[in-house]
Amino acid sequence: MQPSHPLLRWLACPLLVAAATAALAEQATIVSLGTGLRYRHVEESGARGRRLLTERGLAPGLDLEIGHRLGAGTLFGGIGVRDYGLDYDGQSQAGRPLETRSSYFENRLWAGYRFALGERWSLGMRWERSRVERDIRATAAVAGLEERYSQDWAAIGLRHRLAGGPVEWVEAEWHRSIGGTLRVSSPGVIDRVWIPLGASRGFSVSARIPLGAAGWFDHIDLEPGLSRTRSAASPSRSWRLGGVVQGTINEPERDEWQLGAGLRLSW
Amino acid sequence: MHDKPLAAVPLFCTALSLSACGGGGDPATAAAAGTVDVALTGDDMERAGGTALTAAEAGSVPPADLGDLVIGVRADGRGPDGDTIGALLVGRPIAFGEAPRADAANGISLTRSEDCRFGGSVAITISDGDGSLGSGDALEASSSDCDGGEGVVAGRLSVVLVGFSGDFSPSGSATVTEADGSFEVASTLAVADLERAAF
Repeated sequence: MQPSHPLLRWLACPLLVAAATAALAEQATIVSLGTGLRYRHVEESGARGRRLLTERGLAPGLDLEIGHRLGAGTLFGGIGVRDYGLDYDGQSQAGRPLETRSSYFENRLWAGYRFALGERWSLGMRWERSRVERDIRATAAVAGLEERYSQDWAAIGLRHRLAGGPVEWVEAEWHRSIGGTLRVSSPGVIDRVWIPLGASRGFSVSARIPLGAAGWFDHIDLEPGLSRTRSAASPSRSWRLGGVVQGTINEPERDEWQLGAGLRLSW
Repeated sequence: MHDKPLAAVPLFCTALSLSACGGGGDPATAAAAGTVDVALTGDDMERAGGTALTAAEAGSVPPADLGDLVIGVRADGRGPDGDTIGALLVGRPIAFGEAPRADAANGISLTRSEDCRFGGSVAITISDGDGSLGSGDALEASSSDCDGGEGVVAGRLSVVLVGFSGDFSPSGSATVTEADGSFEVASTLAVADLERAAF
């Protein structure tokens, strides 16, 4: 489970590193550091499919993962962070055109097991907890929005190891949410309110292209990938201003694409 | 702050008035015991074409023959009268819209609502694509067991604007035009089974 306190959250990373270092003596353990840069495109739609906003931009990220051979497969777990901004092109609640920026800070914690299915195939199952902080910047006429997503995910992926060529493996993974909440507030407009998130599901495809070894690293790999996630509108909850109920609030439908690549350094 | 609800209210009234002109549409279809849905079609709006209304006039009072909108309720012989429904689905949005309200970015969808005197509420949603009323904008008033003292109303009125000319501001004058069916009003109204209100 992901620590919720910021200090504990950041302690989790060095603890993971320490555990990895301790396990390095064993050949069965692989530690890898991943860096990635992805183009992220988000669309949210309201009633009758009307587009409310589009966000787009580059999202750099960093992650650390440990894999340990266990039984017929590999047990793995990791932690990742992303800190970036997207261009926001949408409208206000009153319908004013609105162009601003959305700041994102994300952290993820995951664990899973990958079963070997013969020489070339493997089946991975993964649980993930994600926390996303999204701050839509205010303008002179329109108040901003603070959103805090906390969501659990389940994923299953099929990986095929290629016999030859520059690509080591390709993988297709299906993921879906298994619960989550959203905390929303807007200073002077919306008091803090919690909303259960709607169901999210999607897929990703990725590959690994070995680039060789260098320095401390036994492997350096390029990992391109593409993912899509669609989220249903959330249930509605009452929202308040100054403690007085003003109406209902919900998270609209969301359709998200990500395309990019990263370098993975393993030792 | 924004003034969109205020600007939108006369359109509600306009749409309701135009709906009332239709009168001869398809009869209602019962959706559930004690509940009647009334679907207005393009045929109902035939007479609405070319009708001109002054927005301020339309916004000042509920349409006199609003009861025509709830043909199914009349057929059923029970339910609140047209004035009651008008007060809920038109009058309350007017009152609600008179108050200036702060504006916020999208990222969530907000519906604003007003509590009814003896329970329930009326929620108002305005889907406006560009900050001013125009083609494709949608307005909706949804009554959730709203009891204003003359009966409980659970219903929804949605209006999609296809074309208009003029000014829908409270003091303005607007004309809703229909050319080859280019003006559409889609309306569904459900009225709950009532114990104390009857025609």
